[in-house]
Amino acid sequence: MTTADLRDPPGPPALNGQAHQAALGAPLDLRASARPGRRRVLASRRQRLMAGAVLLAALGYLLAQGLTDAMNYYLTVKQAVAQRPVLGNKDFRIQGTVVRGIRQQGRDLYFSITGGGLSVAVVSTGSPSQLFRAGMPVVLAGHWSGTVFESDQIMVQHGSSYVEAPARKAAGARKAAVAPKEDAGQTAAVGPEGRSAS
Amino acid sequence: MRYSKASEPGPALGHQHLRRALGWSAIVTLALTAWWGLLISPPDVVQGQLVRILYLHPAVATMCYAGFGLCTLASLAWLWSRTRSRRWDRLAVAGAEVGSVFCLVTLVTGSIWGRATWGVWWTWDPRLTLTAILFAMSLGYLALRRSIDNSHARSVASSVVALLMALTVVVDHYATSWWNSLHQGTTLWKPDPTVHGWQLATMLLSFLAFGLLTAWVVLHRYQLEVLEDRYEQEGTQVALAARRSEAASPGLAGPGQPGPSGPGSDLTGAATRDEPSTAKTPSELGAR
Repeated sequence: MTTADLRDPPGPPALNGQAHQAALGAPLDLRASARPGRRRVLASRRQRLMAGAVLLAALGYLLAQGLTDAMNYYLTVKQAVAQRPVLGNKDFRIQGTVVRGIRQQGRDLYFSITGGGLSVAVVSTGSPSQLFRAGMPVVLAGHWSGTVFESDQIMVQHGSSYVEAPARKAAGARKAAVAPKEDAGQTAAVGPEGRSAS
Repeated sequence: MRYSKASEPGPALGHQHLRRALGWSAIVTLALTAWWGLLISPPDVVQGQLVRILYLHPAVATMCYAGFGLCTLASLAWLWSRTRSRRWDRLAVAGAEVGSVFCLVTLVTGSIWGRATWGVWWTWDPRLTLTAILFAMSLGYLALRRSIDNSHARSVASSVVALLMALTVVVDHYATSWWNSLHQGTTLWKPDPTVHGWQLATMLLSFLAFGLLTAWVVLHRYQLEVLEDRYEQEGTQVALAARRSEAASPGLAGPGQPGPSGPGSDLTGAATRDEPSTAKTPSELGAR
């Protein structure tokens, strides 16, 4: 850019009368509210408050809905059995510990879960994680179908306790974790009709 | 000369040695955590090799809480008129930003761990839901700060949101003990931790490493806020000074006729715009 360019800049317009006054010593007001070209969409305080209240109410409703669902994340086996007539075919989550006797038939997995002295037969189409095996607590999403729980999602819980595995045992634990279905071959197969909720 | 002030390097920002020491300590302890966590620490009886994310996820989640905790304490200090100072507001935004980043990393690492152990990337259990809400709130906090021009109003509004975030952090922390949850409960922060040996040592090391990293980043973010304040203040001063000198100069007869000092009408435009950085100092113009 040359000096000639600077003498005739293409950008800003010429000084108007107001700008002259400001330039000649009047204090400049550089606050955001004094800047030209900035108009508030919601002019009055009342309108802003109302818009805020509506937004808060909508957010509160969504939060309440989401949190209510989250706070009732699952039912224990005992609760699910007790509420079976009320639950009908409604989807919910059930929590229990997998008992020995997991059997796979095609894509379906047959096993039972236990909790609070009761057990429930499960048939599931969900593919569980590598930690799925007898003795692990699980949360299953699904619904009652008679006395059997039909599930399409298996989530394996793990506790907050950690124990170091000696090298050999760790290898064994990994092997069992990777191939949970081996359990079916080692124990008596239990079908959905084998153990109904008692 | 007054104009050249903004282009000169300013006085040294404090805590340079502290920041350097924190940075190097963070890098060393993080590297040590990676070494212990991936190679030294043995696998777990239940989770096998999957347990190694234990040396990342809990520490990151705790630093997310720490960031928001810092934001809340600083906001409280700002709200209390006796301790009110711009420095608390700077610390609050630094804590909130760092907390938000760690919150996102918590969600991502938790999701990866969840897919491997639970079998799902995401589920709406209390802990996960509240962490997602916390992340959304932190984004809201940061958006709020950018949407209010007046610095006092901005600090008041964001401090109130910070208090709400603190409440969410507390509820989130106790979510696994208050409600049925897929997420496991507390491992470390209880009288008798349920982790021992190398696993405990590596976990503690990870907390130290991420603690140092958090302190380092917060300090840098704080200094950035100091610089932004200075930039805003000095930029405005430069624009005002240029405009006044233009008014005092004899060549004000019309556009395109700059006075001897040479800024021309370019500076006049800059003074009324939002960006003082576009103001060219006479020394800058003269150099071209």
